[in-house]
Formats: sequence, C-alpha cells, structure tokens
Amino acid sequence: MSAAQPRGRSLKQAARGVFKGLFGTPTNIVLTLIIGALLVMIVPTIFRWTILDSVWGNVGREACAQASGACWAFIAAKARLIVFGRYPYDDQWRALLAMVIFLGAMAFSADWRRWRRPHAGRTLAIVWLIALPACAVLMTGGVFGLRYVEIDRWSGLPLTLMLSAFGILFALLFSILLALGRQSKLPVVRWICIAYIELIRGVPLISILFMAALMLPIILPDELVVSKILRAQIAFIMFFAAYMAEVLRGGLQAIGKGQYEAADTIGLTYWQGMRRIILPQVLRLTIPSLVNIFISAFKDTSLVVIISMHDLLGTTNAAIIDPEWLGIYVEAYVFTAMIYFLFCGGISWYSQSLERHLKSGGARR
Amino acid sequence: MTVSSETYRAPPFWRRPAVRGVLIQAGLVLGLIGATWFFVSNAVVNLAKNSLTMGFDFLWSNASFELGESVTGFAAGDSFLDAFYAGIANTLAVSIISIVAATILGVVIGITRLASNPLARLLSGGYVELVRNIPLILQMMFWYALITRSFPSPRRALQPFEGLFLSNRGITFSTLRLDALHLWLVGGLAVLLLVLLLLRRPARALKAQQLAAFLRDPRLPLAVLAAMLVLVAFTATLDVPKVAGFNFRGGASITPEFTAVFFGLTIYSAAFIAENVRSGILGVTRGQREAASALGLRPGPVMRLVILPQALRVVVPPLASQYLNIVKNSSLAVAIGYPDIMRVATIIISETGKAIEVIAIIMAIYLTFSLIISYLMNVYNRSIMAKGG
Repeated sequence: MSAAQPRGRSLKQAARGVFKGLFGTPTNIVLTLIIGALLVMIVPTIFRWTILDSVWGNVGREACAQASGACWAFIAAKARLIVFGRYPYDDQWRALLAMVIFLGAMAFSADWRRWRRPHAGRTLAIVWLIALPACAVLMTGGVFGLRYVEIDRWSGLPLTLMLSAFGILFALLFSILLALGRQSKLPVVRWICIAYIELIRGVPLISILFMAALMLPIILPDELVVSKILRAQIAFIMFFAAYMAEVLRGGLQAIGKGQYEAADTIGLTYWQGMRRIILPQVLRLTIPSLVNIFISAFKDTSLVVIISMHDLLGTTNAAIIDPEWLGIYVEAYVFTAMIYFLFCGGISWYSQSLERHLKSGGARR
Repeated sequence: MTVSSETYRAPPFWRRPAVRGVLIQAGLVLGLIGATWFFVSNAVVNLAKNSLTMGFDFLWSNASFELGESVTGFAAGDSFLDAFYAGIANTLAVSIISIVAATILGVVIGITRLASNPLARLLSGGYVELVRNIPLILQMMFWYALITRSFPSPRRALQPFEGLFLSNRGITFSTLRLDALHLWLVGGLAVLLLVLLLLRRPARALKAQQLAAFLRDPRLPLAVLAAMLVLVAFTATLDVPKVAGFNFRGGASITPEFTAVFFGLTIYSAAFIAENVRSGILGVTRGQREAASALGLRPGPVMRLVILPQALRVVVPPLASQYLNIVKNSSLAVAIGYPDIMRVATIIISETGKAIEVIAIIMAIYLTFSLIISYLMNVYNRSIMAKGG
C-alpha cells in the first residue's frame, strides 16, 4: 500500500493539505461549517441509537420497551430465522457448515498467489470437487444419517449465496457462448444471439422471474417442471448472461486483430484459439465491468421475494411481521443491509486488488 | 505424436467451413422451431386441463379490481386494457419524477466527490459506497416500512412547515386553487414567459436594434413573472388539508407507496449517476482545467463553462442507460404494492390466468420504453457529433 502514498510527504504536510481543503477558500469554509453542523446533529443521534441507548443480548421484548435506542435483542432472537429461514431448526448447523465450506473454497480459490503454482488448476478442481458435493450433501441430507431436507425449504443466506454463485458462474459460461455467437460469421447464429441479448436487456429482471415462476409451468410438460428455486436460478442465469455477453463483446472487440490471426497461423482450431489466446485476455480486460455485474447479480437475487421465495430479504420480512415484536423493523433491515454491504463491498475490494495485481504482473510476463 | 507420412487427404465434405456453417445454422433454425412447437403444444395441453384458452380477447372485458392509485383515474369496471394503461401511466409517473430528482442529486454528489473539501468528499464517497452496495428492493421496503409504521397518524401528523403534513398516509400538502378564468390567464402568462425566455438568444441576431434590445431587456420576463405572481396572490384560494376522521380532506397527497418507490429509486440511482458524472469530469483532461484557470476564471465558472460541457458528452450515454435502469427498476414497486405496470400485470394474471399473454404484453411495453430511450439517445449523440463533438 506504500506505493499509493505520494513519497516524501510528511504527516505534517498532509495535515496542512487537509486544513487547506477544509478552510482554504470562503466556499470551503462555508461547506465545512454546513457539513460539520449536519454531522454534529446526526452522528450523536445515530451513536446514541445504535450504541448508548440500545439493548444488546438475547434478553427478550420487554427489555426493549424501556429503551429508546435500537433493539438489538430482536436480532439476537431472530438472527437464526433471518440467516437460515425455513431450514429445519435442528439442522441449521448443516446449512452453516455448508456455507463455511463454500466460502472457504471461494477464499482458497481467490488467492492469486496459488494460481501460478504447478498443478494449480488440478488443485482447485479437487477443492471444488470435494467442496460442492459436501455442500450438496449437507444441505440436502438423506445420507449418512442426515435428515432429508427438500430444496423448497432452503432459504435465507444459503439460498442467496446459492442463487448468486451458481447464477454468476453459469451466466458467465453462457455469456461467453453468446458473445462469441454475436461475433460469428454465420448470420443465423449472430441474429439469434443479438435478438436474445437485446430482448433480455430491454426488460426488467422481474419479468424474467415471472416467466420462470408463472409461465414455465404452462409451457413445459408436468414431469419437466422443476422446483421454484431452480426455475428462479435458471431465470437469473438467462438474465445476467445477456449483460455479461455485452461486456465480453467489448473485450473481444478490444483485442487486436493480430491475436486472432496469430492463433490461426499456429494452427489452432477456433475453440483452441479462443480458449488459449483470446478469452484469457478478454477476461482480464473486462474484470472491472464483469465484477460490477457480479455485484448487481448478488444484490438482485433479493428480487425473488416478489415471487414469494424466502431469500435473505424474504426471511427478514418474515422476521419483522412477528406480532410479538411489533414495531421493530429498522434493526432487521440494518442487519440484512449490512450483510449485503459486506458481501458486495468484499467482492469489489477483491476485484480492485486483483486488477492491480494483474496490471503489475501482466507487464512482467 | 509422430508426424505421419501419409499423403494429404481432403477432409470429408461436412468438415468444410462452408458446408459446416450451413449445417450449423440449419440445425439451429430447426431446433428453435422444434422448441417453439414443443412449448406451444404443451401450453395448449396444460391450458386445456384448466379449461383456459389463449388469446388477447380478455383485454376488452371488464376488470373487477381497484388500483390503490391511478394517474388515469382507473376504476373497477373499466376494461383490462384500461388497467394496462393505468399501470403504464403510474410507471411513467414515478419513473420520470425519480429521473429528474436522481439527476439533480447525482450531479451534486458526483461533483462533490471531486471537491477540494475533504469533508465533502468523505460524505459523498460514503453515500455512494453505502447506497450502491445495498439492494434497491431492500431500500424501498425500508422506506415503505418507515412511512407506514413509524410516521404518526394523520391526527398527529408531523408538520415541518405550514401546510405540509407527514403521516402514515403519506405526504399531504396544501394546494392553490384558481377558478377557470384565472387559471387560463395564469397559463397564458406562463406561455408568454416561456416564449420570451426562448427568444432571448435568437433576439441577439435581430436586425431591428430596438426590438432586439426590448426582447433582451431582463426586466421584461421579470415583469411578466411579477404579473403572474400578483394574479395568483390575489385570486387563488389556499386549499389546506384538514384531518377528517382517519384521513385528510382537501389539499393533495402522495401515497406512502409512491413516496417509498420515489425515495428508493432516487437515492439508489443518484449513487450510480454520481459515479458517471465523476468519471466524466475526470475524463476531461487536466490541461483544460489548467488552461481555464490560467485565463483567470474562478473555480465555479471553470466547472460550469469548461469542464461540465465537455464532461456532458462522456456522461450522456451512461446516463441514458441509468434512466432506462430507473424505468426498469420501477418494476420493483410491485414488492410494496405501488400499482405500476408490473403490479397490474400480476393482478390480471391472478384474475384471468392469462400468464403467457400478460407477460408478453409487459415485455413488449418495456422493450418499447428501451427502444424509445435508445432512440432519443442516438438523436442526442448525432446532434453532438454535428456540433463537432
């Protein structure tokens, strides 16, 4: 991080710069005073509400009645409902363990120092080949003496993570096909891909979700109609693939013609050339834009509440309608908002550092 | 792999690029036709099971539901087609107002993010990071819950200033009421004012010096404005809302649903617009700013006359897609019960069971919105190019 700071600048100089920014010009003095007054009014109120006057610990509803601040006791009482939702209460440790394994595997794969090591691909493949079935077994059960939990009871954070992770992964794979199809020399392939991408990008996600929820059961024979969660999953994949394809198209167009010709010249087939020469460069170029789509995909999984599914937002809504805790909702929304904030912020922080790493490493290779 | 010494053999005919291309495309077309046929035949079977039919005739039959609010004045007994119109009007109403508000807020925050004042930078940066990383639908639900659960009842409504009431029935405010004659007079003066303002620039090129000076005299529009204000002040009556029973009577009000959707869309989209504005301003090269300063311009005029006009060209395309996003995101209103087009669609589906037709209609409507906005975008781009952009 030391490279980010301008060199040879002492703390004193920095402080002087900040002071000049705050009080250097008449406009800045006025701005500082206005913002300062606002902060003086708001910050203590928020601090009192969240910390000083709040009720902590699982102490029940009555303790909150006297306090004027936040009722974190509500979160203490409802955290398991918000995080795990309708998953059977006694088996929620399984969902927790599955999430830990999943996020652990993610963190393991995210470490770019590992990518250059020999057999990196094989190691990662083995990790995921263990992690994914483990998660599936833990969530579903039915073997090793674990109780069977049908997929429609998956809810809360595990559902949000599943919808977004698989949605992003398969949408990315699908979008590569779409982007390549859009560049194809075959007119029919090109037209179909263009029509698909533009159609999807022109309509809101909810209409695709409605299609999955209400239309699929009509246009498919009964034996092919899968559970609602899987239908929503398909809708997400279809929707975000169109947006990612548009980003990838930009990347494909930015790659010099020489790269395509070089791939042809050394005798690679179309798919070999794409996989080994073109796509790695395209993905590297488009990381920032792709990550923006990943983040909105993560946030937009919350739209499934509209087709009455219980993802993280759905379970939050279920928690606040409890008549015993009537009138408490701010705490619940703040809690859930913080979970979304941490995940989205984490993804964007990771992508920024990855981008920096690729920029510095790209020159060396 | 050893190099074989076999003589060259031409690949079989299906490996030839031209033949393969035709085969692939024919396969795709056949696959699409087959899939469509499969879906349609299933739909026919499944609909017959529930004794439903396909078709758009239902649009002209009467709807038996009410909408919470409607710009077009929809009421039960009107046709389903009218219900769709009401939904479109409601969607457009909340979208357009949010677009205006989000643009203003977004430009202010985007400029503030590059301010020299660190406190202002910190505040706007925090706003953008916080708002962008929380789902819009959660924010809308929060605003809705805040209004309907935490705001007082009309009897104890908050009154930030005279004539404005905040309650769990939404925002209620006083309105001015003019009789028809005076309304026409005020309207005429407003048109006159607009024409005068529009004429100011072309008037500069007029040959007739006296007329030009008269048209460019700043006192002229001010006089018209004053006449308008005097007319309103002496003839209008104030319609102040009063509490009657459990609600207000008189004045005008904005429902909690509308307010929540408006707040959510504005606050959320402003963060994205701010980022577009910021990168647009950063895109204007440093030399431009320095040249403007060297000419002796102060920071305000530098921004207004040099930076913003150039940044605008970069900002407009992403801004247009943000506007389109606002229109599409307004469909989240369905989650809190604002009767936008999506909400109307769900009601109609549950009343008639016409899922396929209704979903096709809403998709067509949103595609139309998209096409219109991208058309306007292209027109704008071309006009900028024509100016030598």
